[in-house]
Amino acid sequence: MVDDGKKGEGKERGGSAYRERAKDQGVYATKPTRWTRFMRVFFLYQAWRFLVINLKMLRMISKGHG
Amino acid sequence: MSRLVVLGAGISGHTAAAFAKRWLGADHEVVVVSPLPHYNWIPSNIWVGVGLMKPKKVIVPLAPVYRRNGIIFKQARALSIHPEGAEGEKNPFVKIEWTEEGKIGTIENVSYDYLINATGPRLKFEATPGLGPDKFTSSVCAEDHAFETSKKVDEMTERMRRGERQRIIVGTGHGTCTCQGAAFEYIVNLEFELRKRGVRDKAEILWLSNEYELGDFGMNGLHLKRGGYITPSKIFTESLFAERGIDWIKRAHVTEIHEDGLHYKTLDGGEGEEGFDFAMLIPPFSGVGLKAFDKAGKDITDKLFMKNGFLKVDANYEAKPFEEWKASDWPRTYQSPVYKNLFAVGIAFAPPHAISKPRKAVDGTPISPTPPRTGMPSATIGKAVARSVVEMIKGESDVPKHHASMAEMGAACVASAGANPFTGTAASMTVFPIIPDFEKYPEYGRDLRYTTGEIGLAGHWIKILLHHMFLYKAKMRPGWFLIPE
Ligand SMILES: Cc1cc2nc3c(=O)[nH]c(=O)nc-3n(C[C@H](O)[C@H](O)[C@H](O)COP(=O)(O)OP(=O)(O)OC[C@H]3O[C@@H](n4cnc5c(N)ncnc54)[C@H](O)[C@@H]3O)c2cc1C
Repeated sequence: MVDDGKKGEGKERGGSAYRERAKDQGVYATKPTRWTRFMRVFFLYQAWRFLVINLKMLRMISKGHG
Repeated sequence: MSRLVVLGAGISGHTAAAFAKRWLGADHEVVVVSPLPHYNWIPSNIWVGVGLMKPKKVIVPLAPVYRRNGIIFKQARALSIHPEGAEGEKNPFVKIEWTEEGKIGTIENVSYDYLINATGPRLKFEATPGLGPDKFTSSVCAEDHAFETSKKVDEMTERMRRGERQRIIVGTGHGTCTCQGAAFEYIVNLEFELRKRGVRDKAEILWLSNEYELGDFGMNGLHLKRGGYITPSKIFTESLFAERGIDWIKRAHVTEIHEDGLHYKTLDGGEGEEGFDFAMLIPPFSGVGLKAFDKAGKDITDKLFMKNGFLKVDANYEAKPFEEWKASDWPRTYQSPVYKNLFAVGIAFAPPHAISKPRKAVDGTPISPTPPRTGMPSATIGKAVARSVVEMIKGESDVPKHHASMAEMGAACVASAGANPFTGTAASMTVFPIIPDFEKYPEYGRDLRYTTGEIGLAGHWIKILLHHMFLYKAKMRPGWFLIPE
């Protein structure tokens, strides 16, 4: 997604060793699968999650005000 | 007739004043003192800052709302509290300076029977040379800042359309910042917006923050049960950044900012510099700088306020190491220990200590988040304190009976990650309790049954719903009081 064609550019333009390390971090991070990304915006599933999350939040509110 | 004065018409003060008036009726006065003519629903400033919303969509003019509801509004800035009155003035009072057109600079003493300080934070841009909208970085902490920021985003977009690559830094502008959640929302919304504008491939986006780990958010992070594991928020935050192609530098204290770059140091004693074409960095917060004087006119600011300008309340302020912090250190009634008719709510009360583990760089520079007080607890505290004060005014109780400890309440928070009704997402989280209680929940400090989180389109719909609901509530339209905090 990000154009990596100019790696190291940050350094040339005043970047640091930390930035160089930062560029590698994404490699070690957990990434969602295509299925997960699809479900995040799949209308029917999200309509269901909308209800569930609202209920969870209401439960939290009632706990917080108890 | 008694008079309750509320200083500040933000999330906590406006909630306190509105409920107090509703419960007190016409028999008693509620006066609100606030320097701006409007209320700002701050969470939606994020969308103003990426150009998706006009500033007028996130504000509510206060004068007509208060007029309709019998609340007296003084568009003014509080300067000092005189809890014992003064020579020739037996009632306690606040000294205010008007900011309303036609009265600017006029000084008035407003007497009170009860006072609620809800003045929120002062944005301490001066803490880092070069920080802030008057210098070299942008801000979304106020709606006018956010609007200026959106113009810079438009200019940057134009440059990218012309083929120029742009370096973007979002995060915290000092080692002691809080409010990482707002910066997090901004970076992912900006990334989403640049994709929508078709220029994402020209942007190099960097997160730079004082957090020890990503996903700390000033709350020492949180843990969620997910996929057969108990997973820290670090994993989810890193995952989102990796997915969006955002790099990150953590444990950083920004030391200096110039026109196109910044210098920082890190917890491990390292130093670095980064260039940028656009940066949005949150400033550290302090109290707004109210003074206090006794009857003889002696300065008693230190007696009422902590050094950081926040008002001392019924918390345990004894300095102790992280390992000895307790949930019970956190205030419950928000009453000043010195003056029983004085309270502080929202960001204005002094927290007893941080929530995240405090850390210092080898040279002693503190680099760790200070405690956030988000919208939901701020409003809940405002309402509880209003309830206590109303009962005290009505003679139903001598002491504040309503409690709203952040160590006993949960919070729901929806962090936008991109605004679009079909492709947008937001992280919906609940935590219980906000302040970890390691006595009750030894391993993680929180009840994992009630600490939940997920990212998806549903969260975005909820965020939109909250925007409309809370603006409706702020306008005190019919049934406003039924909308939960
Ligand atoms: C960009 C951003 C996004 C955020 N997003 C979220 C979110 O999504 N969810 C969430 O829960 N929280 C969010 N927060 C946090 C939330 O905005 C705060 O928790 C909340 O505003 C705190 O309420 P408050 O009443 O203490 O302070 P404020 O809302 O800041 O109100 C303070 C009031 O006091 C007034 N005032 C200042 N000085 C004086 C004076 N001398 N005399 C009288 N009045 C004075 C101010 O004008 C203002 O009206 C966000 C914060 C920011 C900056």
